[in-house]
Amino acid sequence: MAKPIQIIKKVELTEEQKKTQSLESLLSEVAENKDSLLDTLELLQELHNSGILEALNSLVKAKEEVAKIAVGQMTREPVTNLINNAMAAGGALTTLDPEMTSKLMGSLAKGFEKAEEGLRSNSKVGILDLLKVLNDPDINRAIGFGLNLLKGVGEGLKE
Amino acid sequence: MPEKVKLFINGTVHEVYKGTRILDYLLSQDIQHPHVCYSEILGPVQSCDTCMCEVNGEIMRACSTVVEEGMNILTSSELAKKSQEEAMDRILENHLLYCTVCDNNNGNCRVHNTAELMGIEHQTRPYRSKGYEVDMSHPFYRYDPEQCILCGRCVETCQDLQVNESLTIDWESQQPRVLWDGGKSINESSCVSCGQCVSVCPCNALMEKSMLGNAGIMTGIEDDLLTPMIDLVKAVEPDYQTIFAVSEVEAAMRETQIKKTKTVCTFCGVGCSFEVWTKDHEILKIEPSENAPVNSVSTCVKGKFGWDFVNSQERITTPLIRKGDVFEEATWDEALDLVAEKLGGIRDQYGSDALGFIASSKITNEENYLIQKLSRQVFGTNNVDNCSRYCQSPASWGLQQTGGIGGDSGTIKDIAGAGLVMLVGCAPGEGHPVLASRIKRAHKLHGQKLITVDVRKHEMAERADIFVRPKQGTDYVWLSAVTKYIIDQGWHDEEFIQKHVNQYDEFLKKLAPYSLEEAEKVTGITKETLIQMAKMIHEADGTAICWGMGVTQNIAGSHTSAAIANLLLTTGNMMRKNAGAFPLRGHNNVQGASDMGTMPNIFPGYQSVADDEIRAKFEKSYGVTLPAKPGLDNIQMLESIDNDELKGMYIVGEDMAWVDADSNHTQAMLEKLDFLVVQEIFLTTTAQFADVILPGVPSLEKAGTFTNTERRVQRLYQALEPTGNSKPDWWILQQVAGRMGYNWNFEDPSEIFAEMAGLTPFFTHCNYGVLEGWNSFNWGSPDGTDTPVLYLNGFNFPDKKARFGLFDYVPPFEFPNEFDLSLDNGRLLEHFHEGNLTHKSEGLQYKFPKVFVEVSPELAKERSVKDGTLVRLVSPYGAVRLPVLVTDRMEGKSVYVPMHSASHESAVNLLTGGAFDVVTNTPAYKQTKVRMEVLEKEGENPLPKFNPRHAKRTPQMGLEIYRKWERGDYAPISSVNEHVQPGLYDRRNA
Repeated sequence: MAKPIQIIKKVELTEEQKKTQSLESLLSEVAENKDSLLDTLELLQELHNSGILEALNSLVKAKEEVAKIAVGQMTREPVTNLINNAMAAGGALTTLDPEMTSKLMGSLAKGFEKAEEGLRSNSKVGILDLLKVLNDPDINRAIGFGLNLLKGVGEGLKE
Repeated sequence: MPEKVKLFINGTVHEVYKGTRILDYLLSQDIQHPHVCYSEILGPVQSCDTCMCEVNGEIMRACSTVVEEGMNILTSSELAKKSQEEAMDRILENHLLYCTVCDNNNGNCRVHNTAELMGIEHQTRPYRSKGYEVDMSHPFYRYDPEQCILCGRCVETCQDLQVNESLTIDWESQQPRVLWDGGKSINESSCVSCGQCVSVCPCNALMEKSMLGNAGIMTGIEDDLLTPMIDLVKAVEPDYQTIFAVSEVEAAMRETQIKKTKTVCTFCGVGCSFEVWTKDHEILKIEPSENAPVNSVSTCVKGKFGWDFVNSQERITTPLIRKGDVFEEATWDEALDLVAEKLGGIRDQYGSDALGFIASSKITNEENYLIQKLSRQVFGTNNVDNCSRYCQSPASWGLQQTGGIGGDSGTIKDIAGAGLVMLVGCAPGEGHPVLASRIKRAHKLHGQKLITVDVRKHEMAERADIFVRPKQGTDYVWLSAVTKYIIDQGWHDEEFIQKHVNQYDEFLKKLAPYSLEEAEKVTGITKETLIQMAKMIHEADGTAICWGMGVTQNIAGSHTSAAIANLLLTTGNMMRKNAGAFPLRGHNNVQGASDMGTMPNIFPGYQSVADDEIRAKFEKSYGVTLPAKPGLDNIQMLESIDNDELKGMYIVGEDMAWVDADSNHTQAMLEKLDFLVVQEIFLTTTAQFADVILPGVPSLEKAGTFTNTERRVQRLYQALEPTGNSKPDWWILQQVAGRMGYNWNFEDPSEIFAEMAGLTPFFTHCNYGVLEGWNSFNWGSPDGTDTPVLYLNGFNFPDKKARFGLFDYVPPFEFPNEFDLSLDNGRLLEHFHEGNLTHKSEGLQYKFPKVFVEVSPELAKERSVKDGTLVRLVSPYGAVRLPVLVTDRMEGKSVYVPMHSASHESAVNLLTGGAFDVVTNTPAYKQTKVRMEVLEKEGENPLPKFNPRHAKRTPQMGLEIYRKWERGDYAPISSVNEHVQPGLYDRRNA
C-alpha cells in the first residue's frame, strides 16, 4: 500500500559539510589550474603594490555613476566637437595617397639636408641669385609644387 | 518541366524558369540584393521598396516582378541604386539606429544588414518620432511604434499566414502604426500570442520581453544611462558604416554568450522545429527559421513562449526514495541499486509478467527504444505500452487494417494543398495550432474548402464552409452514409478501386443499411447536409480528412477510423499528393513511441512479437530468448494489478494518475503496487505513488529524435546542461540495464538510433547524418527510404493492394437517465495536457488561469447558471467542482471541460471511465455523461477579460499595401505599383 507522498525531505547539509564541499571543489580547481593561478597571483601582487588594484576596485564599484559622468562629459558640445574633429581629420588623412605622402616626406628630408648645408656656408643671397636659381630644375619643381598646393587649399576653402 | 526564358542580369545571360520572380532568382543564385519586407513564405509584401531594379529602363520591384523573355535587368545601375537608397531613407526616417545597445543586434537584424549591404552612410530625412507610446501590456512581447518601419510583415503574417487576423496598419492616419483589433492594447486584443509577428519583425519594433535588457552586452543598462548614450551617438553623427562596424563587434561578443540550438517542440504532434537561444541556463527566446521543414517561421503560444517549466524551481533534480511518509534524497547509486534489487526480486519471485513498463510520448525515440529493450531483453516481458493507448491507437489500427501503415498519408503540405479538408472530432485551432494555420491560409487565400464535424463549435468550425454537429459517437454512421451515397451517385473512383483495393463487394454489402434517411435518424445530420458533404468530396481535387480524439476516444473509435479510410479509398483519395488520412497526433513523439515498439504486441517498426522470424532477429541481437506472447496494454496492466498478478511497474514521463480514464480507480491501482519506479521531471500525482523517483530531463537538456504526426523524424540537440543531479532518460535506462547485468554500452543517442534502424526495415536509410541540422526523414516504405507521401508504390500489404475495412457500427455507451448532460473534453490552446508543464508559465497562467465548464446559453437559462457560477459535475465514477463559462461554442445539453488540471477538485478524468474501444482498449473518454448541481450562484468569470476569446478579430486580405500608395503624400519609387495578394504566390503543393 503506497499512499501518495507530497513531501520531499531534502538532505540538509550542515554548515560544516557545505564548507567542506565548497573547499573540496575549490581545491580540485586549484590543482587543475596551478600554473595560470600562480601567474595571476603574481600579476595581482604587482597591481596591488602599484595601487592600481585599489583604484580599479573603486572604479568598478562605482561603475554606473562613473559611466554616467563619462557619457555626460562626452555629450558636452566641446567634446562632441573634439570627437567630430578627430573623426574628420582621420577621414581627411584616409583620402591622401600614401605613395605621394611618402615621396613628400622623403623630399622634405632631403630639403632639410640641403638647407643645413646652405646655413653652414653662410653665403648671402641676392635678387639676382633668386632669379638665377629659378632656372635650377630642382628648385623650379619645388616652387611649382608649392604654388599648386596653395591653389588646392584655396579651392578647398571655397567649398 | 516548366519552360525557361532567356534574360540579362547586369549584362550576363541567364536562363530562368518561367513564372519565377526576379528576387527569388537572385537569391537562389546568391546574388546579393537588398530587400527587407520580402520573405519566401510570405511572398512579395511590396512595402519596403528597397529591392528596386532597373528593368528594361524602368524601376521595378524585384520581389513582385516575374521574369520575361529578353528582360534586361540591372540590379545596381545608378537608377536602381538611387531608388534603393531613397527607399532606405524613408525607412530610416522611422527607425533610430542605436544598434550597439539594441537587443535585436544579434547578427540577424534585417534593417541593419540591408542598410549595411547597401553601404548607407547618411540619411537625408532625419529620424522623427511618430508620437506613440510603447505597448508593454502583453505578458510575452512588446511593440515599439517609434522603431517600427511599417513594413507590414507582422500584419501580413497575422492576417494571412497565422490567420488570426488581429493586426492591421491604419494607412489613412497621419502617422500609421500597427494596430491590434483596430486600436486595443495588445493584451486585450484577439491576439493568441503565437509570436509569429515578433519572429518576422525585421527590426526591434516587436520584441520578446524575455530578450529585453538581456540579449546584449550593454542592453541591460538603465534608461538614465542608455538615453544619454544614444544621444551621444546622435550628437557625434558618425557615418552609419562606423555604427554598423561597432555594432558588429558587439554582436560578435554576444555570440560568445548566447547559444543557439536547434530543437523540436514538445507541445503537440505537429513537429515544429526552431532554435532556442540560451544564456547559461536562461532561455532567451525561441527563434523559428524558414529552414524548418514543417512550420517555417510559425509557432503557437506554447512553442514560442511556454518553456518556463524547464527552469522551474519545482523540478526534481535528485533521485528520491520513499521512506515512511516522505521522499528522501538519495544518490544515483542508492536509487538504481534499489530499483534493480526490487524489480529483479519481483521477476524472480512472481515471473517476468508481474512487471509492467509504461513509455512516454514526451521522451525521444532512442529512449522509447530502450524502454522496450529493457522490458523485453532485461526483464523478459512484453508488458510494455505507451500513451497512444489513450488517444491514437484506434486511428493507427483503422489505417493498418485498410492501407497497412498506421500514420498520416502525407505531410502538412498535403493538407494545405488539398482541395477539401474535413476535420472530424478534432480542433486543430486549439490543439495543433500551426497545422490549423495552414488550413486557414489555404481556405482564406487558395480556395480550399473546409468541412468541420464536431460537437463543439471551435474556431475551425466558425471558419468552415459547412459545420456539422452530429450526435456524439455516431461518426461511423454518417461516414458510411456519405460513402454509400457517393457510390450510388457513381461519384466513386471505380478504376482506382478495381486496381488497388480488395474486398469491394463485401464492403458494398456492409454499406447497404446506411441510407441517408437512416443516417439522419442516428446522427441528427440532415439529408441535405449529407448530400452537400458528398458533393464537396466529389468536386474537390483531393480530400484530406484530419481526425482526433473526437473519433478515437469512443467505443467504436477504431471502426470509425477504418470508415474514414474506406471513404478515402472509395474516392481515390489515397496513393496521391494533397489528399489522404491524417490522424492528428497529439504529442511530440506519440507517433515515435509506437514506432519504437513500446507496445505489447510489436517490436520497433510494427514488427510482430509473435512472428518467429522477426523474433529470432531480435533474439540474435539481444542475446536472449524473447517472449512470443503479446503482453498487457496500459488498461490490462491496471486490471492485472487489481487481480494481484502485476506487482511492479516502471513508468517514464506519463502522469497516468490523471490521463487514464477514471482517475480514482487508476490511483487506487497505483497504490496497490508492490513497487513503483517513476522517471519524471516533476513530482506529479503519479510520481507521488512511487517508491523510487528517478529525475529525468526535459527535451532541452538532452539530444535525440522525435517523430511527428507526419511520420517525420527530426533531431533535437542539447541546448542546456541537465539541471542539478538529473540525467538524460536514456542514460538512466542504460544504468538500470547495467545493474541487471546487461551492458548496453551506448555513449551517444546516435548509437541507439543506429541499433534500432539496423533492426527496423522502415528506418534502413535513416541515421543521424541524414537528420543533420534542419534535415528530416519521413518513414513509410518497406525499403526504408524517405517517404513523405505514403503508398505511391502500392499499399503496405504483400499484394500491394488496400482493403476496405469490414467493421460494424457500435452505438455509444448508455448511461442511467440521471446523467443527462453529455460531457465533451479536450485541450485548449494555452495549455498542454494535464498542465504539469504549462502551469509553470506565469504568462500562460495569466492568460488562462483555471479550468471551467463550458455551458450552452440554452442550458444556462434552463439551470439558471451564468459565468462564474460554481457547479458540481457528477458522473458514475466521480465528481468535480468547476466555474461555469456560458458560450455558444456549446449547444443544448453538451458541456465541455478542458483537461488542463491535475487537481482532485477539477481534473476531468475523475468523471470519465467505464467504456473502451472495442479493439484497442482506448478509453471512451468522449462518451461520458454527467449531471450538474449548482453550488454557488455568484462567482468570477473563470476566463479573464484579457483572454483572446473575448475579443473580436479584424480580418482583411493581408497588409493592403495599396492603401499606402493611395495616400496623397506617397511619392512612388517604382514605375509600376500593382497590388498582388502576397500569399497567392505560394502555390498549392505542386
